[in-house]
Amino acid sequence: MNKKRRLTIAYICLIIVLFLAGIVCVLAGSVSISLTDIFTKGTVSNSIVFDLRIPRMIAAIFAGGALAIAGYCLQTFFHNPIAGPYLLGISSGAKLSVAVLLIVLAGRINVLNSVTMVIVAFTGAMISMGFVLIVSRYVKSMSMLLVCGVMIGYICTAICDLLIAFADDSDIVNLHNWSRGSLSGITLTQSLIMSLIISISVIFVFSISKPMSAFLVSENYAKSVGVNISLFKVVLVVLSSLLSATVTAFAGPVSFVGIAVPHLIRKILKTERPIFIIPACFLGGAAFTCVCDVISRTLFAPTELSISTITAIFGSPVVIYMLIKKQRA
Amino acid sequence: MSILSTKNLNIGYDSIIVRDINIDISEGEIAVLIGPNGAGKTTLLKTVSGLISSVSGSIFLNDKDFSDISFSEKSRLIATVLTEKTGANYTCEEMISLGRYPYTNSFGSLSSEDKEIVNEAMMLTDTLDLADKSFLKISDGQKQRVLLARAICQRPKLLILDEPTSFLDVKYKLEFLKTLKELSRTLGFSVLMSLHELDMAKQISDKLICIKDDRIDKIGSADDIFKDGYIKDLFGIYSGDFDEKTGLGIIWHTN
Repeated sequence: MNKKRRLTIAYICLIIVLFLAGIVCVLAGSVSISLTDIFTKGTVSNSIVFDLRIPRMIAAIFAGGALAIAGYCLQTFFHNPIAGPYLLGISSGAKLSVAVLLIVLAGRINVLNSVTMVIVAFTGAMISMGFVLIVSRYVKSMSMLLVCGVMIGYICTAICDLLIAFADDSDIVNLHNWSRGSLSGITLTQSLIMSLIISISVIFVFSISKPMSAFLVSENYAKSVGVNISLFKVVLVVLSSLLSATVTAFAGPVSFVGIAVPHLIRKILKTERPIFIIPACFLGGAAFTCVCDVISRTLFAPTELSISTITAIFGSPVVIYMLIKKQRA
Repeated sequence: MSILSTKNLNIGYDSIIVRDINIDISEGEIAVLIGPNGAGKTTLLKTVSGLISSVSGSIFLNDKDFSDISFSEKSRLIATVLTEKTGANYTCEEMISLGRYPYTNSFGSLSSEDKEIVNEAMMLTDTLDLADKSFLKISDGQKQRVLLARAICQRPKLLILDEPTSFLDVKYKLEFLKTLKELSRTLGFSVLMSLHELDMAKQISDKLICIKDDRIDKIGSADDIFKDGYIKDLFGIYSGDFDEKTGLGIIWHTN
């Protein structure tokens, strides 16, 4: 079967690309690594690889995978390929709530652990999502909804910048970098917590791939074959918010992965079936983000660019291409 | 045996659109809804297929109350074909396979039996050669055949269609309705559909259900309905005329 072969080859390629991207992510950087020293305790190479680069690689893989799948969920939900957590302002909502927490509570509470961050980011994401959903009841056109999402993003970013400007003390030195999207300084514990939450959410998304396949046709069709629509929609919203919130809590808002990757995956796999698209989105998003992370820290090393800068450079042309194609069709 | 029946059913959204509906569709029967635009035909079809809830009254499926039937059981009894746009870029075969949804496992993978049923459905509807084509890129006539194939994959007892022939040219209209009638006989399902083409409704229906002014105005066989100028009344035809023999409208009489 031609279809099966295409899928198999595409999957093998994606896995190889991700594997290579992961290795490059560990080996490339502003400090060159001596391969012989990596496994010798106490060397600089050993500590850089195990304390900095491996956690960062794990974070990049799971952040990328999560964003691609969050994007895919939102595209399914809105029946539109140009929806994504960043464009709809969901990442920004998460960002704002984390920033508020960090600035307002930084001095008072010492323990700001990763789980709290995720919960707060999730709350912010859900508030943004709620806003988007309310707007979507009144505007029928998807482009207007996207404009509203972008506006929500701007409002959140503006408030965030304001807070950062006024609360300029040592506690929030890293906040500025984080608020623009960066994986720098992520610890092993953080990256493991992040990958755990994301793995669980992704498994949940995968487990609803069957109702998704009917929902993609239309809401009414899904209903007619027995999908519990209201439950399904809630699950979809919660999962996509949780995925983008988790990424935002640790890495700040990362743009365009959620739109560009699912689109490219659809093109490569030439199928619409969620059961094949979802795992491929994860692999593709992971590889894409890994590569972007490497570029962001090696292009002008030792100066690090925000990862969002790089993902936007590669991702936004894809979105523009999609918009033009959609207008033509 | 009755497949679908309703008792004092009132339907609508916020307000009641059609009230006091008592219809009964028996096994293998083809029932056609006719009536003016906006009379509530689509609302009735959506209500009995479970897409929107009724305002009051009861619906019975296989003599079982609607509210006692689970989503998944309902989807094995009723297949619905609505005129709706879709953006999903499925191939026709994938689209048709979705009809097995109520029967597949939780990952939606097709067993060899499912595959056989899909293949059979494609044969019956003459859609085998469309298998690998994108559903978005085929003609309207082909689309309706694919949707019909998908519906019969569901192995329903009742097939509900909302104006299935509206966007088809006359060749495809005839072809579609003929296939539908044949399938209903061979596979043994009942049909409830709305049609705009009265001439075709007259020929294909075992029973005509006429909706007008928020109620079911009349139910009967084509011979009962197409007489005594009833159709002119039903649609409010004032200009032009209507030929009850052929079921065709007449713009003006030629001498």
